[in-house]
Amino acid sequence: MSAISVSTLDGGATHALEARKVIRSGLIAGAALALVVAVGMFLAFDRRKIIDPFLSAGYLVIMWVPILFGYRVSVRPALEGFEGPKPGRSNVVAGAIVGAIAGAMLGLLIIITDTFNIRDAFIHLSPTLVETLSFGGSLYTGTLILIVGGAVLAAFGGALHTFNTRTKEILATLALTILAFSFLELVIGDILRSAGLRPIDNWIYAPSRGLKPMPAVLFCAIAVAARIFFQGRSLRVNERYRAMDTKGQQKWGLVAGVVAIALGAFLPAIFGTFLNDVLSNVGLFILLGLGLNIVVGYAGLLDLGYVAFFAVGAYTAAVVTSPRSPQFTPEMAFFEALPWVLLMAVIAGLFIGTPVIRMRGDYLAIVTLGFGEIIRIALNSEWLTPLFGGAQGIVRIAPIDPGGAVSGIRVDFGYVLAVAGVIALIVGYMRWRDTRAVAREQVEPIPGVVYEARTTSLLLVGGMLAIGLGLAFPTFATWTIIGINPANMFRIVLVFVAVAIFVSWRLRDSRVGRAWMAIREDEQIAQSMGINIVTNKLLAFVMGAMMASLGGAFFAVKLGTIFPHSFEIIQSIIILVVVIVGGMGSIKGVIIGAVVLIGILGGPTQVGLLREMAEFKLLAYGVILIWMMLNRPEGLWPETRRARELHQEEMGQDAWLKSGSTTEGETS
Amino acid sequence: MINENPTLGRRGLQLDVATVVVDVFVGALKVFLLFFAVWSAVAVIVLQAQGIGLAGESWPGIITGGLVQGAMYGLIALGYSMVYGILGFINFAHGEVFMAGIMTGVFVSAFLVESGMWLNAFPLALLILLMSCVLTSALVAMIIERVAYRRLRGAPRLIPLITSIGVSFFIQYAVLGLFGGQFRRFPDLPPALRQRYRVLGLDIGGAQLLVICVAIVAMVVLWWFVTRSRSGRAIRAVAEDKEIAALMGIDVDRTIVMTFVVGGAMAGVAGTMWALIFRSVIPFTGFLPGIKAFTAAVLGGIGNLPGAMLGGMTLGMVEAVGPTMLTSLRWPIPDLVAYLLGAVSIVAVLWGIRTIRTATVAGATRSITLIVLGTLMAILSFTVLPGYNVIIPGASQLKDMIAFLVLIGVLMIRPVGLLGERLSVEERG
Amino acid sequence: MAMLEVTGLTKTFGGLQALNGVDFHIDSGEIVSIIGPNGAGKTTFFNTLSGMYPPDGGEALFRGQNIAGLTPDQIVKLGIARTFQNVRLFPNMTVLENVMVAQHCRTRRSVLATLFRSPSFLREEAEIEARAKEILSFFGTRLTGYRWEQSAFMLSYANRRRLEIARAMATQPTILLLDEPTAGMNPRETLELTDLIGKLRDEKGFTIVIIEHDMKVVRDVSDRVVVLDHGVKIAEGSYEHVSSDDRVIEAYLGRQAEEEAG
Repeated sequence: MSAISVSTLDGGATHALEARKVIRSGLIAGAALALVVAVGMFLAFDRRKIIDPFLSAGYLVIMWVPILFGYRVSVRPALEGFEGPKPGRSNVVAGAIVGAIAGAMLGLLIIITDTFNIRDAFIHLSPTLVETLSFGGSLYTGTLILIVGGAVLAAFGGALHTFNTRTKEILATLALTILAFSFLELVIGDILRSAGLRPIDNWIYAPSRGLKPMPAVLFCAIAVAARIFFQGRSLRVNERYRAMDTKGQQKWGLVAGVVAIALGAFLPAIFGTFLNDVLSNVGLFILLGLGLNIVVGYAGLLDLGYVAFFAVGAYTAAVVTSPRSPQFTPEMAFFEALPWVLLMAVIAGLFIGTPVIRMRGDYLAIVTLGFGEIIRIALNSEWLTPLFGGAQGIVRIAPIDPGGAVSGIRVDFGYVLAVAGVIALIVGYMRWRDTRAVAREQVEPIPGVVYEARTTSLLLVGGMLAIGLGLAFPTFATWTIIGINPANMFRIVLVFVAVAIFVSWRLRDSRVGRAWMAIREDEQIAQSMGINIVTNKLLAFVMGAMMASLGGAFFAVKLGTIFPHSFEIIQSIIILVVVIVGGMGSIKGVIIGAVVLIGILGGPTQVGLLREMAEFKLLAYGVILIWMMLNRPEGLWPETRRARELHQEEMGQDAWLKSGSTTEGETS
Repeated sequence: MINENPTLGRRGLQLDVATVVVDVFVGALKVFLLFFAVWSAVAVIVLQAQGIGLAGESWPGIITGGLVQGAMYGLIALGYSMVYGILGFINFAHGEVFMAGIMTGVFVSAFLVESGMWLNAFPLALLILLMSCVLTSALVAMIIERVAYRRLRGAPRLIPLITSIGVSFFIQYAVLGLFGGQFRRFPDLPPALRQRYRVLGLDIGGAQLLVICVAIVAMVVLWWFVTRSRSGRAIRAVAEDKEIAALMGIDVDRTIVMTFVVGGAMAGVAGTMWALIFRSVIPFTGFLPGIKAFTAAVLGGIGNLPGAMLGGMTLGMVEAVGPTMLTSLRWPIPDLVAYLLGAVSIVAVLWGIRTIRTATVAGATRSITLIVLGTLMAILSFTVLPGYNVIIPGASQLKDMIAFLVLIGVLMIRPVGLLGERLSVEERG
Repeated sequence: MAMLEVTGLTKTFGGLQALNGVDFHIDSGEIVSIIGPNGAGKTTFFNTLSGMYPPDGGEALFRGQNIAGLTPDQIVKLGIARTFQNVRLFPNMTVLENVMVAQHCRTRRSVLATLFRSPSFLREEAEIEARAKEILSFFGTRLTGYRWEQSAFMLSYANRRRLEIARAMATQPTILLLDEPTAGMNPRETLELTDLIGKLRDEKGFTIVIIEHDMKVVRDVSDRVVVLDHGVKIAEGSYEHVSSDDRVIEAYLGRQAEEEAG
């Protein structure tokens, strides 16, 4: 706003303002570049080739900086009702200056590195770095290249403003295609090889695992063509779905569900080890994230010791299943252990939840953090070693067969059938009771809901049959999942995630969900509107704890061995970041958050698709967290409500601007 | 429970079961923590008197260690406390501010050794070290405020807190990437500081003595600054009420920056102390002391500067003495004491029964707590407790656990801290 | 017996006696106004009655049951709901949700029923939604239709006040405590609200205690007026009676004289 008003008054002042902004952007970009290089990201990524001889990922991690800052420097706050200045040459020029400054700073860093001996302090500023960044020439030609290159890239960033949407989309498609094919080389290679298509793999990828130029061009062409072809079509599908009536939506929802289940069962078979492993980690963190989402996102209780519940789940599973558990060895199978895991989670949730329930928001954060540490320290201590194995942890968790050493889960479909039967029976019984009550005119029928007698009896009879059959032949079919088989681990975690999504979703749209929301909004008022904050907060803690403990049990059986070391504060923080980046209070947000962070960057101890990020992912987590909080606190894919609430002022202004012309029937 | 007394109402006590259970549980937890605190304290004294406790000469070491550690926590806690008092959020990154100071100190001291100043003109070298720690920490704190927190004024409560977690992460891992994760060591201290001195009957190492002096000076300077100087008055005014302060012509933004700078400088002083006592640093050095310093700030009463120092000292002492207290739990509870406790519990139960009949509803919860816990305690006192002891091996591993337990206990028993909170109107809610 | 009978209610903050042995009673179907100069302890009286502060002494018998010291949610459940002087809604919940969530204490479906969407759950949801809409329609068309799905923070000030009353109504109370319901409203809105308060009693059958500064409103709505000053009840009776009471005049004017002198 100030820039606009100033420009109408005094052109000179605007220029001064702009110049300062450009130089500041340039300096920040330079600092960012220097940081990326000095923490060693450049060299670590340089080993990976994107397009084989031309482009390495190292250049990529420094190239985005000038592009981004070149773009950002000419972003102006969009104000509804005000015409911004037209993008044009000034954007390009501003970008170029930013890039030149940034490049010069990087060049300076290289020169300093070469001249003074600062390697003692900055471990990554090595001669190799100097050599690579002077591009085979002398230091000064290198610096010149950096300045010019930076200017060109940043000018391109600035020029992005002048492109139309179509061009931008095509550029984005190109970039994404190249990135996807080069960074997913391992995954694509796995899939091709398992399909017996090794020659194609050899044709696409050079021995360095970088894309060869020819296929790169080909894929880009295909992607752009597809993009143009499908333009707007996905939108139409969405609209058509919305236009359907409830019945049609239900039908297609069912179809989509069946397809999803079929894909979940089938796809892991061709995914290959690496992708399956990454995906099962993603699943684990979705599970943990959904649990924390109930505590933080729904009820607004910032639990920084969430890892405690994860640890409780993992250790309970370990103690009751492992034959090598130090004290107590009932040697249960995985599914036998689950009820105990959940029970311990409830106890832990109540135990940790109770003392913190009446504490102020940030005290709650620090005390839960304290509890998380207490549990880890206790597990690690010599004092409790006789129970939990101390620093050595517990090995041989959930062996598949007694005496064996391979961890795993055995699914007896008889029991699965019985559980399904129980659920059908409960649902059927509820419906039957309701139908009877309506028939006797004890209650009004629910508007818009009819329970057909046929479905009800099917549920009742089918349920009983299923229970009977399941219990009579518990092992008529079994499925043995070995902990180190990522494809199956991914499938099983999908089941857990589905349950967690179901529970989160149903709880959110209910009186409990509303009560949590009210507590999050204003605890005091919630209480004076008749909400029992004690029970509702405890319920949130317990639900969160149960999901975390399920995750813990899965984690334990996946690794087969657990140590206290796996349950440090950082785990809590990372789960929190997943929830926040996705969007607090949003189920789909948690999924997106886990896919983006855990899938691409990797979890605290888990590898992501970007394997080179291993050392830097936590740095990236920090940057992402800060950036999100400053620019998009509602997360990547928030519930609409949450987005509204964090942009209250703007929404208010918009509403005001819009309602300015229309007069309401009241003066208020 | 059926009674004509109108305080009970007609339908007996209208109590919410969950709330009562929670209250009883919290009560039990308080009793449990207090019980072990008292038991271990008594046990230490008794064992000492019997001559089978710690060797007498190790006590001065423990106490001075606690003092030094406590002063360090206190100095860091000041930063937390001031920021919380004004902006109302936990600045998680403050531990990293502290670490940044030490990290700079390592390089500066290496340079000082190279130039010979460390050996030849140690006081001057020390001053340079102190100044570099203080300046770096203050600068880092200032940058954090400018880049991250300033844009979040007025955002919902959790947002700055989460941002500060992000900042903390960023600094830790940026430092890890830049300087590597290995322990970086400070040079050896000159002989004068390695000697031991007798002060006030305590046998204190030279470095510790120096460090305590530095801490005292820093606190006096801070006290003077906050109470006497113009900026200090502005800080207090802004901490009281930002809007009114702004109306009185105080530049709120500048004052907040000043708060961060002062807090950072204190963390820098603490960093120097760390450099002289522990003499090594890694990128994660700041994290745990940071959390504990926050604990100290809460312990003393957040927003309360003398409280922060007192809280730091208390926490330092608890940590120093804690492991000894834990091992002292090997002292069996004498039968007589257990029976006495049982008798007291019975009295408590009787008192609870007596009061529950006349209690208003609020009092009734307390009476129920008394009855339930008293009964439990009485049963334990006559069965398990006589001669009961706990043997805890490796108690020194549990030092941090004790610190957190103290935090939990304090927040349950006295949530406003030892000296009381001082929060701005916006935060008092 | 009076519906609510308060005897000797006392509340102290530090050294300040905010309430000093206040006696109060209200019968079913009455509208009683509480007036008094600023700082007389009116809002503290509400806060203590509604359980936000536990009283230091005295008792409050609501239908013969002592509610002093109960938690706010228990008191709401028993049938006393309130509004706040500085409107406090759940700003990010929609208008409808604000009213639905207030019925929390009147619903009781378990987590299991919620998870399986049992018929009783669906019925309960439908009921509370219908009731919420009904309550909102009490205020004419201002809070209905597209407003249902609007966040509370988007409402105008007067509508927020109305929504707050609707929210209190949704807890299905016997007694409504309204804390300065007309504060910040213009004369027309005030008039309308005065009307509405009468309707709340006549049509909905609420018993109402109201804190009010606007003497016109007090005169129009109240059956009885209670005057507080310095935490002590100094007068009680009809509006005419109270307005001619010497102590009341002194409480209001005496203070003014002091201020002028100071």
